[in-house]
Amino acid sequence: MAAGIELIGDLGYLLLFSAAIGIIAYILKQPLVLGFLVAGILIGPFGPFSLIKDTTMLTNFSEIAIVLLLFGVGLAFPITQLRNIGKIGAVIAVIEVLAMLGIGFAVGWAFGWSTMDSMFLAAALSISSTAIIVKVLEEMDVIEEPSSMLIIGVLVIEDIIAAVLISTLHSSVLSGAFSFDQMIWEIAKISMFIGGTVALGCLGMPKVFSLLSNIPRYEITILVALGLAFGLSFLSHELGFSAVTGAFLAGVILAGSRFSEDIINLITPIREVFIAIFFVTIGALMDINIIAEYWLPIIIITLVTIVGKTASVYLGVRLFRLGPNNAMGIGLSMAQLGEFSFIVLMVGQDLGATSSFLFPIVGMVVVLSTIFAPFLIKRGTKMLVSY
Amino acid sequence: MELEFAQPFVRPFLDKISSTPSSSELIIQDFAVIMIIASIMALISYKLKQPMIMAFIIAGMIIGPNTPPFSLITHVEILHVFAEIGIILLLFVIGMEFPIEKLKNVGKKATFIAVAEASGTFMAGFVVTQAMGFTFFDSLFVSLAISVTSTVIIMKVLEELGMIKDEATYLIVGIAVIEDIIIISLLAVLQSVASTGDLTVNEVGMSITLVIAFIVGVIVLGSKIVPRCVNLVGKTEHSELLIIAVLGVAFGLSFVAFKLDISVATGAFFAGVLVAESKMRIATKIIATPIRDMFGALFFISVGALMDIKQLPLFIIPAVILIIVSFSAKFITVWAASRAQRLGKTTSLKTGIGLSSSGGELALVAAKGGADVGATSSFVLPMVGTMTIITTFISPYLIKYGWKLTSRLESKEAGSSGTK
Repeated sequence: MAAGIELIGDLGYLLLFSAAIGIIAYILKQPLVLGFLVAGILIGPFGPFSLIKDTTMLTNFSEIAIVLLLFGVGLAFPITQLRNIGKIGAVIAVIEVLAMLGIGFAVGWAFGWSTMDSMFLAAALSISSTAIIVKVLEEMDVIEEPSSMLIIGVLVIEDIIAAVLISTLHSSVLSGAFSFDQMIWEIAKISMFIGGTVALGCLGMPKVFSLLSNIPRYEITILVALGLAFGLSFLSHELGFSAVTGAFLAGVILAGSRFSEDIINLITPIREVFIAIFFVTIGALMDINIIAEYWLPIIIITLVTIVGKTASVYLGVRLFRLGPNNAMGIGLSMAQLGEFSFIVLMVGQDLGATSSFLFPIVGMVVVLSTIFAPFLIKRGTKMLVSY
Repeated sequence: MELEFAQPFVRPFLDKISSTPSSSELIIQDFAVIMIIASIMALISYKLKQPMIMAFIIAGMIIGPNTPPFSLITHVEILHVFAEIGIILLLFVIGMEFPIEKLKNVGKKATFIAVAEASGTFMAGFVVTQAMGFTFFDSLFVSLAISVTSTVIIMKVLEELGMIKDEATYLIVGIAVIEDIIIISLLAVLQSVASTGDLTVNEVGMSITLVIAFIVGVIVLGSKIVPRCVNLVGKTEHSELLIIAVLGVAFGLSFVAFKLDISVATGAFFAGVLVAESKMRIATKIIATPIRDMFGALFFISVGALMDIKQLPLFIIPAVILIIVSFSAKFITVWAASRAQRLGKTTSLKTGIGLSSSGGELALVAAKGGADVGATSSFVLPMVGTMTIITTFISPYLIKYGWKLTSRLESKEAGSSGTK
């Protein structure tokens, strides 16, 4: 009990501190996510206050947070909708990811980093943040616009690609070499997993839900939803994929049911708490001393990310004969990084594949791109309205 | 300590899994196991119309290390943390039902009844344990342990029965919280008595002053600061800011209370009281409830996981005797005290039944407090553990059927007086 209670104390001031910084972020009209990151940097072991020394429990919380995050994203995505924007979203996402992978690797190589570092950098730069972009779009009240739906579609497909990427990176680091066969095999496996889960889920779940619908107990609904989310995450992890894929799929399966509204309402507060802790943890794990040393690569990578993403998404959207304004708008909205970069880097760090400087550098790039994101998205959505 | 005895069971599992690359993902495994088993048990208990607590406790026993075949989870320590969070959230949400106004209304009555109950049960327990041939200190700590009522269990059962707005409920909660405070202060006093060998007025005075200072401080100072801050956060209209701010208050205050040797539950309860003073009370309650439900379930699961059923036969006889003693002592004192406070017949009966089942996490804390200072014999802690297992199983039914019976009596009376 004693150890538990110390953690309660830690959590107490972590939350109070994040709330305080969150209010400052609100007053300065910055996304809350940024506030949480800053709060984490301030109270983390490398920060000036260094209030939190033991980050083990925080990383445990982050694992749960990632599952809840993607579960929530999936919940907002019924399968029918996924099908509607599937094709166009997939093309744009693939173009963007491939372009950023190439650019990222080239940049890493140009800095003279090792192949592994460059590979992880490339992967980290390739995926935009669903959580941050969705949150900004929500805050700006444009989430219902068709262009926002397209953006989210692209983001979600990116998330799936990210799952493949992480799995591929994971296994290629373990096997010691990157192999193309490996990637094809991963894609085949993950498609099978996604197809199988969705098919089974859509066949089996309605029965479970008709059973549940008679139960006026919200706690059972919560437990079942969380059981599905964590169960599928774990299954996906055991099969060698990233846990986030399973979490997302659990959300997608539930999104089709008529409970999705209820579940979203019930899960949202839980999710918000864990996500706040997640971003604080990310901030806390960042060693800001390294940043002073590597300011040049940070700036270069940030610029490359924003320009590269805008350009590649612009190209992708133009392929579908949408107006240049529209394409530019969507491109600008996508020009940032987020939690996936951290997940990729954490995988790299856990496996001991990357150098220690990579995490704080990319972390700082994420922070910078998060600062720019609201401006860019505002810009972007204005362009969209004008067409 | 729970961790230590769990180790042999967990070890082979840990070894098996530590070969996988990312150990942190095991948290997801634990969560998956817990959530799936808990939801299955919850569905079964719903079908069988049993209290939900039972479902979670049994789920915990299946998951936990003490029942065969082995522990299904790897991070037992995580379970402790989540259980702690569970207690805090349960009491926090309860506290939100008690703005200071309402607290004042029930405060006096509740304090009177709680003092009567705690001292009555304590004395009855002491007499009986002495008669059973316990040593002096064993008697003291066991009596203290059986004076405890589990606030968390009572609340959960009442909520499930849809009784949360009943007059008796407010009273019961008030009494249970005050009782928690009394027990914890008594424990501190007993511990210092046991270690120094004598009882000084100073110490008793100190611990009482500390408790009163905490409560007065929280209510006077806290009600000036916290509601305003919460209103400020509420103005941003970001629900996530609101929820992390109020949880921060809850965890923070619980931690402070713990550091002052007042129970975590008390801190959490008063955090809820303070938040209830703000304009955001309803919004907060809506967003805090799902989190409470999740961690509340985790709390009961961890209670189940840490139960060792194998202990049951060893101490069954003294445990049953003591349960009967504490049950009757509590019922009689609470009922009599409520009647003395001019409460209605039914309310008194309901309150008596509601508070009569002893046990809960504080009972174990009390027993462990005795063991920590080396005052009690080695059998006391497992015996109190056995009692807690039994009462945890019995209380939901006791409250459920006791209240139903009272309601029936009430309607019968109303019926007969109506015909007159």
